[in-house]
Amino acid sequence: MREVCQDDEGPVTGPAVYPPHARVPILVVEDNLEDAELVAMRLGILRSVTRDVVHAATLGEATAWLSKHRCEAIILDLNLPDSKGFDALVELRRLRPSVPTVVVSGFVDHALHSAAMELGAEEVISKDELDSPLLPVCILSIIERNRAIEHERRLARILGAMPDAVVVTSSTGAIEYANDSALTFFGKSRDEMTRAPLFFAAPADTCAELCVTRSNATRFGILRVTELRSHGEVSFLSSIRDITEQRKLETQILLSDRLASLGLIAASVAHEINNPLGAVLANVELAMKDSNGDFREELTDAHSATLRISQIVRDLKLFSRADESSCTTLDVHPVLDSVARMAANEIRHRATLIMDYRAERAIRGNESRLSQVFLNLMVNAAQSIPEGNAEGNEIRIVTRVGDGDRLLIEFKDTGSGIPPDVQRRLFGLFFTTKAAGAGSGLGLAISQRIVASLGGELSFVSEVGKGTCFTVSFPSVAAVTTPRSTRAPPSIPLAERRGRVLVVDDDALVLNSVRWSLEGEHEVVCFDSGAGALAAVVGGEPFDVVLCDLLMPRTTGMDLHRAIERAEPSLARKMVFMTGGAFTRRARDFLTTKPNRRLEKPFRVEELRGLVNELVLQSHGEEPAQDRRHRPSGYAPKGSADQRRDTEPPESRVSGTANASKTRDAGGRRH
Amino acid sequence: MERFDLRLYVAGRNPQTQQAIECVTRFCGTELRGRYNLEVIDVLEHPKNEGVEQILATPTLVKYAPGPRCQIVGDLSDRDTVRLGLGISRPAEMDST
Repeated sequence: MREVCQDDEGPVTGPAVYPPHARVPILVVEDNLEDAELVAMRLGILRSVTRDVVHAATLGEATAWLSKHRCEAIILDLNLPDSKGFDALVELRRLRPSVPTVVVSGFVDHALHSAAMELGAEEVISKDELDSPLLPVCILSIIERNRAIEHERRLARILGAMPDAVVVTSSTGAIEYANDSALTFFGKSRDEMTRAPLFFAAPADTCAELCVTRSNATRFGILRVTELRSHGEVSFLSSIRDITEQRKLETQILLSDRLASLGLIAASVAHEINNPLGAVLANVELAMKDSNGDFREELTDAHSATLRISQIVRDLKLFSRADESSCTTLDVHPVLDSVARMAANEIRHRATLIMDYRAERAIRGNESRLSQVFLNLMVNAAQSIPEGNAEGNEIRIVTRVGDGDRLLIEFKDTGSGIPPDVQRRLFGLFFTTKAAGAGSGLGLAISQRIVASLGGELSFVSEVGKGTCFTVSFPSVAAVTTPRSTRAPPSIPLAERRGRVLVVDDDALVLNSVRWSLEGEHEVVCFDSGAGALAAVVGGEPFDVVLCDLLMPRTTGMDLHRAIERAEPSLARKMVFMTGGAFTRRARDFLTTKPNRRLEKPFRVEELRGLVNELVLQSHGEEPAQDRRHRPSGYAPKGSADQRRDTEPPESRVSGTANASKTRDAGGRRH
Repeated sequence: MERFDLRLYVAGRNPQTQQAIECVTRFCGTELRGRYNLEVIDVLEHPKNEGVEQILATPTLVKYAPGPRCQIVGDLSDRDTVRLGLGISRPAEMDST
């Protein structure tokens, strides 16, 4: 606690709280001119405090003057030509209730005195007291008292309007003052607050955190305590600032930050997995072709397991999209499918999951944020059902078109339902029904925010013992027709044209699997670095297709593209980028601006073959006939699968591992 | 000497709550030395508790005895205020000779 105000040591200095009093006159309402002059003379010494004395001889004059001017005090002779009894007093009190009025009368007795005071007079004096030196003292003290009262009222208004809670307590814990904001912040009446001695604790120059828990909301405040000394007595001034909104924002920022880090890790993991995964996928497919039916079951299982891993990696990438704010037209169904896969573990032992898609509308939204909401709702649904009776419980995800052509996505569960008093607080920040530490109480609050920011609505109905249905609704747009097929690509027929394919990837596993997939039909030249590949191109080696990894150390796919653009522009157009998830900004921007084809890792053998065969044909179609003369004669005419050219490998060319001795024919089979 | 009957009201389990509990137990240990009962009550777990309805905010240390009930709200590491609220004086300095 810190000592600040010590009024024992003289006046408090500092900037003026409000403008100094304007000096305004004293109004004397007196029909007797002599008496008026006498008063004016006596009150002359007050000129430093007020201005001159103004004289009105009748009530009419007085009210006329008052209609245009202000005054500090009024001295009123009841005996006026145009007023009888107390009429003048009543009228002037009505016109100027905040100006002290002193009544002067020829004859003053107790009855007159009390009647006048009753009607609002500040004081009653008799005529012969007008000539007394005490008159100015009396008037001055009346004026100063009035000013003091005005000051106090103004201060009370200021403190009352302060948004921060202000409480002053004595050294025995008695409340000396509490402003309205304090009562609001603590949610108590004045009586309730003063019931027991109260002490606010905060070490000097620090803030303490307070939390007020009420049934419908929690509020947070920061408390500062300052010591006040007055006449040797100590009081404590406590001010509390409500930081609930700020706290909400901070928590959301922290959460976003954590999600962003998670996103980064997810992207990184996905990227790292994609290369070896691609190698497994391609090799399993090649082995299946090669095995003559041996190990069919094992290889088939290995193959579908690999496909499943690759789908999980794709789902992870959904969450890792760094660009969280962009909206596109999207189909919610693949997002729901993907989220369902992610929530599978939570759902598996509790309920049967049914995806009931009845709508074909699309919405404008952001995939990453939507998947956050869907995951939250799906996991909540799952966790409302106890484990052990998956057959007897159901989680049903329904999409349908509702009123106004809106797309409705319903998350229905046969769980425990939400009791009414919990329903009221469901979207509240920090509200959770889970044990401390298990639930942050933020999921639904954030989901609601996300849905609202995407122009949608989140609502629910629930019945205890029956279950709950959360509904997300969005304005819908026409369905998007780009299919995202995950079905197996059809078996690709043999290449019509044998081509020369340049493959660049720093990962030997990728190089091997690509080579083995293609070498039956095309000549494959591999490099593990962009520099080596560029040297081959610049050195005049012709290629029909370049398959290039995007993110490599030293020379990236983007650098290589730029270099090839300069050296051999037509080849640059024939570059295909193999990407495992472009998670640098540069890579993402690059991909969106280049028209080059791309292959997303992990890719299937048939996918690879199909693309390469197409591009080889295209490349030959583009070549003017005369350029073909400059090509080495290693191009076999259509159909002759036996002719293969062995070219001598230069320095950084990667010719593969021991398996290089096993060659492959056009069907991909080894011999 | 009378025994202090104290109750510490906190909200939830978080670093602040932990700190409040530590401060108060340390204070009681050093300055009340065995003359006290201290109970910690989580207002989130027991919202209908009568004591909970009376307090203003958390963390709050309420002294039920001796003497009239009083509450100390805020950062309970402020020993001066806690002593003031409990009505005890600063402990005498240890004599080093």
